[in-house]
Amino acid sequence: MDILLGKWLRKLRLTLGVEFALAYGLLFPLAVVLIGLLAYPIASAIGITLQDKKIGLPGKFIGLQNYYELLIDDPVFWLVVQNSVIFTVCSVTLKATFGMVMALVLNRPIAFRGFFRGLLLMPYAAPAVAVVLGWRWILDLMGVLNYILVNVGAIKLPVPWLAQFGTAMFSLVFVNAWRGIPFFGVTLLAGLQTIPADLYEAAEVDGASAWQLFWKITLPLIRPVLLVVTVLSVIWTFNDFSVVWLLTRGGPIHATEVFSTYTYKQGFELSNLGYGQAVSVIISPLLVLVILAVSPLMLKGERD
Amino acid sequence: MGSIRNNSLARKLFTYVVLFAFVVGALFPFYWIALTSLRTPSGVYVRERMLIPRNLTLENYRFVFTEQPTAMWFRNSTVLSLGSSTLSVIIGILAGYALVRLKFRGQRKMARAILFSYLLPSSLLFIPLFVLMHKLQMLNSLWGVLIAYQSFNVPFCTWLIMGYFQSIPMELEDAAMIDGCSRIGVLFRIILPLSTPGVVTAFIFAFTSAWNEFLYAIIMISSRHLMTLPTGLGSYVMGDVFLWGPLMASAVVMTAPPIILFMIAQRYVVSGMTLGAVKG
Repeated sequence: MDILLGKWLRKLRLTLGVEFALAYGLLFPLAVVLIGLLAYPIASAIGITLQDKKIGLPGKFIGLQNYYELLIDDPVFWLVVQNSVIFTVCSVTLKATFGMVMALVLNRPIAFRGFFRGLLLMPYAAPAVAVVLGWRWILDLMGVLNYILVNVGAIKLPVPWLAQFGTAMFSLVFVNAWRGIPFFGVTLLAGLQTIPADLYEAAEVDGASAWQLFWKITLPLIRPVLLVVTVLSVIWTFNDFSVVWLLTRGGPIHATEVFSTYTYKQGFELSNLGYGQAVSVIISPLLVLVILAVSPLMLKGERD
Repeated sequence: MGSIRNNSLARKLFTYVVLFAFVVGALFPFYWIALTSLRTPSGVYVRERMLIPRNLTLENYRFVFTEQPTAMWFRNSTVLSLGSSTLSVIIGILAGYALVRLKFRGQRKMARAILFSYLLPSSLLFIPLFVLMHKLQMLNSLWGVLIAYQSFNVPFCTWLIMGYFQSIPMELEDAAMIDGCSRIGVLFRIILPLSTPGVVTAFIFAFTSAWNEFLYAIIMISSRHLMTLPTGLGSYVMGDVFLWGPLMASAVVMTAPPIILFMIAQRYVVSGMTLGAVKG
């Protein structure tokens, strides 16, 4: 009997690895989370979209009707697509540009670099809800931005930044970018610090200008880092909820409606869980593609 | 020679001007939030010398702690964030060690699954998680939220901790095992003490993201006394009238803990940002 058990155990070790028992034991809690809170919900998400499901009631199977309505009958959906793309592209571009400038400035020989890096990190470190409400007050019709702009003569009358078409989306992009710049700045700074100084010295001896140094040395060498940070930021910005919800709630009249707010509104304000989920499921292939594109870059770093 | 010196002086000046602009841009909203929180209800709207502090009062802080459930929300946020991040870090340590050091089938796939989960956005998950929690009858309970938070904090902590474990030389471990130390003993006596920075970083990030989380908390908690600070504050935005003074006072209360954590552990935080997002 013992011999049989020993044989069986050896066979298991051969196929699963020498330390399989300990490994699977240590991984058990992680597996519960990955399966119970990620894999299962994702799988059930697709099922939910095939139902007419209200909060608290069992769903009724209706096939692809939610998708049909969404793509054919719902003009708001296409507005949501457009808004999400504009919001994401503009915001990430701003973040990347200003984050790059922030990194370059912090990489210069300045006094108290750690202190300044800490100060500039604050928009990223502070809770989104708190600072976004702060911005809502700043951008208010009676707020300080209008006060300053009227006083310096840039505008004659206060502007309802969050309540009118055009400026509402612009304000959202601005606030989202404000929060995200430090992430670019700090990660790019870490990238800049790996570039050997003698590369710059050699190029300077050869008479290269600061502009050339940036385009010919800095940018090519920092490109891998920039790429990963940008893709991460695209994923996070595309799914931002709190900035949009707390500043405009998607308004005025869907002018700033994005995927997350539309999903939320359909699901929880109108109680159409199936329809709401269809909104986010329909974009998921795109997101999965983006994630699959970026993960090899991150895994490569992990193996080194 | 003189022109080169002028040039470098001009460059230096330019650097500090840009730096100054960044500091003002990053900090002005905080100044404004803090200043508003210290003003009287009517003082908030006074246009005269609006940017300068005067007639300051702590009345708004008294108001939010005595007339609004801010203290309760603060407690809920603290318990929830401490509890959920501790759990995530423990799961992350166990799994991270297995993934980095033990040999078994499916190692690579598991690492990939973790990264994928870490990148998976919450807007895709919140409805099915809501339905799941409804089935488990865990809606409107902080336990339910604590469990839901594992969905983003566990992959993140595992991913981060894996990175730190990898940087510890294998030889240390081999030596200890030759001396008769078990695998678990190695993890607790050698690996963990050496990767304290990594564990601290994971904890800070997990704590902060739980502290700041808004979407899951808003869909899962409906009772006012169970709300966290973000959803409690968010609930004031639903009305038409904004009491900016009290609102900004609550914002200050909510901002203080993560900012203090970040400031104390800035070195760790920066390494975590660069490791969690971009390694190499």
